[in-house]
Amino acid sequence: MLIAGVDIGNNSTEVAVARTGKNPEFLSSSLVRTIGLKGTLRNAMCVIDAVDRAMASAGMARSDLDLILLNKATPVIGDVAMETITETVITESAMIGHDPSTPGGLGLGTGLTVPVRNLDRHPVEEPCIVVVKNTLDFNGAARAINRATSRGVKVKGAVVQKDDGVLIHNRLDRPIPIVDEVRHIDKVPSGMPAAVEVARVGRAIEKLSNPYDIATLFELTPEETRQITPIARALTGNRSGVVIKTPKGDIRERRIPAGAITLVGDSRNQTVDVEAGADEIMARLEQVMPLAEIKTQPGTNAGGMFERVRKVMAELTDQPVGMISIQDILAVNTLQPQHVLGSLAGEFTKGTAVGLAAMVMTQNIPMQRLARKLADETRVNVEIGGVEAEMAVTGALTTPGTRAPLAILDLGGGSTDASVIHKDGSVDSIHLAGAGDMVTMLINTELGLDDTDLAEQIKRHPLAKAETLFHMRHESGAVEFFDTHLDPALFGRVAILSPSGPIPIVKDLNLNQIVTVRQQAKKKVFVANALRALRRVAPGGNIRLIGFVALVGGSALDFEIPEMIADALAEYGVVLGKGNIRGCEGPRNAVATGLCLSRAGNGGTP
Amino acid sequence: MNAPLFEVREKPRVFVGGIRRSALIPPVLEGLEEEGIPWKVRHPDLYGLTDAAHDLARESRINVGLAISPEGAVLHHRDLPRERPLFVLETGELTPETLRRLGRNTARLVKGNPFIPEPECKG
Repeated sequence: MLIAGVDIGNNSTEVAVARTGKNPEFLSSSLVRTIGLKGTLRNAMCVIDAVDRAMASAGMARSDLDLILLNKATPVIGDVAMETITETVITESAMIGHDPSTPGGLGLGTGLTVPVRNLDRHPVEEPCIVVVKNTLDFNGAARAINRATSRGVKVKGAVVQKDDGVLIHNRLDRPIPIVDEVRHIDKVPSGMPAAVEVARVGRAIEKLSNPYDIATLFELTPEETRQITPIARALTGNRSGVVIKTPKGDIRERRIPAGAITLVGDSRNQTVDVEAGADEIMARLEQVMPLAEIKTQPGTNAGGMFERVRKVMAELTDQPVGMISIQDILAVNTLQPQHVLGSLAGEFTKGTAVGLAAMVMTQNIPMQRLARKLADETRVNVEIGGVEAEMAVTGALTTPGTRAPLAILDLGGGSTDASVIHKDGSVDSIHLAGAGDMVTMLINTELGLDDTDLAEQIKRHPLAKAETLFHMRHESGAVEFFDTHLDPALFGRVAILSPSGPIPIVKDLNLNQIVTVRQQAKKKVFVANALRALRRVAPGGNIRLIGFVALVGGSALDFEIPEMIADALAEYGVVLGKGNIRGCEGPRNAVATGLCLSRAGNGGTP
Repeated sequence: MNAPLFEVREKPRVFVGGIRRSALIPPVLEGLEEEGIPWKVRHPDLYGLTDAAHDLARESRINVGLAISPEGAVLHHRDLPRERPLFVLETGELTPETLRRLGRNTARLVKGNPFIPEPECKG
């Protein structure tokens, strides 16, 4: 008998074609994008396409098939959301910390702020910091400052609106630190004590990033010193900074109420504030497991996301929304670049946020309607085959070098799934929230991209930087030269090495920064979930008792995730690697293969 | 023209070619100065701006040359094909702001930093 096993996944539909017999013979396979939600009638189109492709590559026609076997799809819908839990607010212009690229001069200067037009009248004994609006060009500013210093005025530093820091400094008789590119200079108050600090190229300021030095410069009380600590923190690592002491000025980190989540378990409930952070949320989740339901507050990002996920599943399964329950969540701590509210020069700071993924599942979708439609269109017998998890491990067992007990980790886009086949042939499986889509969201958030497609590209491909018009340095350090010059759009920028050519990242981000964010995002989601999943399916929760683990699914093809998971699991002594279905398909085609095997042999593998 | 021997001891500079006392040159030099890259003004024949810029780039020890006239401005690099300069400003785009930005981007080419993009047009 000639069978086509069909696996309809969330992202791709795969087919394996085999001839039954004592030793089933596999003839071909294919892979296409899934059209429509898994399990719905819209899938018919892509299933037929996939079957036709597989038959064509076996040199046969659709009519040669005796049976099309569909997997009993276990629909899993996952979604993600981000909750910001802190934001930074400046009141009354207390600090300038935008780190302009070319400040002028060097060192630390303190004095009262004076607009440059008042400099000619300024008393000699009073040290001052000159404030220069863009109405005055650099020559005029330099002349005014030189006039004042030749009079004996103690000019100790300058704050400038245009990007003229170096131009002004090169024309001064006496060197002073100058911070430029201050966009909202009209907000800088006059007559207030201020300090300006500029470090050497490649260095960071030392005084204005230290609360006790700020206390010294401005003669602060211990209470006031405590209040200005966020300023010191915000200026840490900058090459330049300005601190102004205004009566009410300060910079505050405000906590944003992000709502509470109630985790409802079979025997216990726990309510936790999202602001408490991811570690707290996950710890409470452990206490409540197994999860029966999650209740959230409306009007929050998390609440909205949980509602969305329920609604999609309700529509898919034709059930009332109230009947859908969320079975798992993953919470991850992250940082989110935000505009500082009330900033003077467009400063950014990192606010804390919590990323959340949720997953809903239902037993199975009635596939009968899809099966009937396929039978009508193809004129081939169509049946619904075995449970997806069982088919997956059965297929995975065709990987050379494996035997039961074997666990597979299916790293998808919406969920991370694990199944284990025990020595006695029984299968346990589990679906967890948090997968590829969450990794993309974390990359998008932490780099402040506001561009999901770009984040997706950063996730999938390594980076390089164009150092000259003719060479790029890969993130690994390797240098690649080109015969013809690189596109000027790539020059000096970090580029994503996608298969269709390098994509420049327009945002001014450092290559190492992006690599770190990308790797951390993958670890926070996939390594955490690999451990969570394997603990749940392992005999007695002991991962050591699983001899072999195979990675399957789209994200198993990622260039760094398999190694990360292997590193994390090394201490458990398991054999772990990307699956190689039938010794030729790599981590793909496990379910389709398993389906064929379930009918192909004399009972085949269970 | 043979360069005198003593020029070998000077530090490497970007060569900026333009008409004597042209008002178009100072904004470009300001951009270079703000970014901290040394320059030298020359007054070659500006027969074709792109050719002139490329010749200046080949003479510069930093391999970068600029040619500016009322007809436009061209930024070139010694290793680029002669007919494919890096940036070109048309005659209508020669404002003090765009010229200052051109100077800064010339410096960034030397430093290996990303270029400052044109600000998006409003309205």
